[in-house]
Amino acid sequence: MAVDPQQLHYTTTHEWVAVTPDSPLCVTVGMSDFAVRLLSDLRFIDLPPVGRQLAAGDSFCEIEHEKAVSDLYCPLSGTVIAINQQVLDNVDLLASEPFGAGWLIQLQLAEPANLGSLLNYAAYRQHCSGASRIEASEAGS
Amino acid sequence: MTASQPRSMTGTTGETPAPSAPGERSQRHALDRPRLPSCRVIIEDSPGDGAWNMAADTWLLEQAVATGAACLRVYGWSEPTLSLGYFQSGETLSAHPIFCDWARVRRLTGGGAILHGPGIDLTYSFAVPDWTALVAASGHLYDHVNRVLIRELSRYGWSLTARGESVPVSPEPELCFLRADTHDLLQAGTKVIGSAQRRRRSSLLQHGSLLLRSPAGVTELRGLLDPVDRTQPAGIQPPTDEQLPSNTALAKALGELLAEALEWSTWTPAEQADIAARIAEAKPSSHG
Repeated sequence: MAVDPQQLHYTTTHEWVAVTPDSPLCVTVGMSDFAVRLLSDLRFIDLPPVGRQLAAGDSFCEIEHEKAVSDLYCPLSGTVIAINQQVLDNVDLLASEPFGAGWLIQLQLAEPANLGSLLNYAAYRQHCSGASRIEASEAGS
Repeated sequence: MTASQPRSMTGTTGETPAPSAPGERSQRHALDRPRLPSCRVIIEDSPGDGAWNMAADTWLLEQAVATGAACLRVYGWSEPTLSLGYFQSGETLSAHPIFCDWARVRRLTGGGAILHGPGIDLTYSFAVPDWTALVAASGHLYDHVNRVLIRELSRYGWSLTARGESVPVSPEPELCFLRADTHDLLQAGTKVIGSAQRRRRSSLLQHGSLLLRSPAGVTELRGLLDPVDRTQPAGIQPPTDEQLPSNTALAKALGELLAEALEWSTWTPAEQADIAARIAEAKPSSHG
């Protein structure tokens, strides 16, 4: 899959959300290119099992890079209905195609997503470029 | 000998002030940004087992996330223990003739397996609530801490250097001290200090281990206090613990890197009970 970054919704911790056009209760979650660029030497990734219920803010993914393990946080509450096995097998996909083959999980939401709690593309870019401590954003932090 | 004769007889638990290093005032090492106002410092009275040590560090990170408390620990290990990096399986180590019988524990942090135990290593850890308030990039903390360790060990005649480059080895060794990372500290060309991190939200836990002596029979590693030449003639004594800063001195130096004021303390009974309860509740999992 490939998504248009400008059509996504973002968290301040650099996860992105894509709502499936024909299925508003299904969303895909990934990590932004901005965050990926800050993660050098990606080594390992772990994703939750299909069927796990996640609340917004829960850690759903762990990534090792430069001997550091970081958590990614679930943008919305839902049940994991798919994980990207290709990324598990080849974490470099996350670095090379964060908005495409590097997606992470798909969630089934119990109700339509409250996207108002997330940032649109412009706001997210401003968050990335305007933050006085831009490195705050090293992914997963 | 890998180092000049010690200029102090300070033991690892002694309180004797360390000798001054040449040009000490000019060697003050600062973070990228202002230090924390304060940091709690815990020096364990006695070495703990792997479950305790890792549960305690996890507790510190959780406290940093939840309450904003910063804390530094310097501690030892009560038995020979392998701590596996968070994503390591440790599979090949299970077949190792020496390590197969060692206790094991999984760290929260990444990297390779580290050997711990009485006389084998010295470990530090610290948890800070918002690493972005201290450094521009979390990797800088490795470097800042390394400069402090270089300075402190130089007081005792050691000349540690940062590797400064990563050298991938394939297949990658399971043992941290056989890997070659840019943030390693070397003595006489051999890695003696490794470090790794865990980040949760804006908080960060960093571990570091100083390999003092390679366990008997483990010839592929050389600790700081091991003779450089294992075949050297009898009668030449290897370095001793007296050529190390005390745990207190090490904690003070690392703590002062992080914070303006240090709050020396021990675990409270409630904290100990909380950590012990977590150990008891812990269930085996793939990423313990």
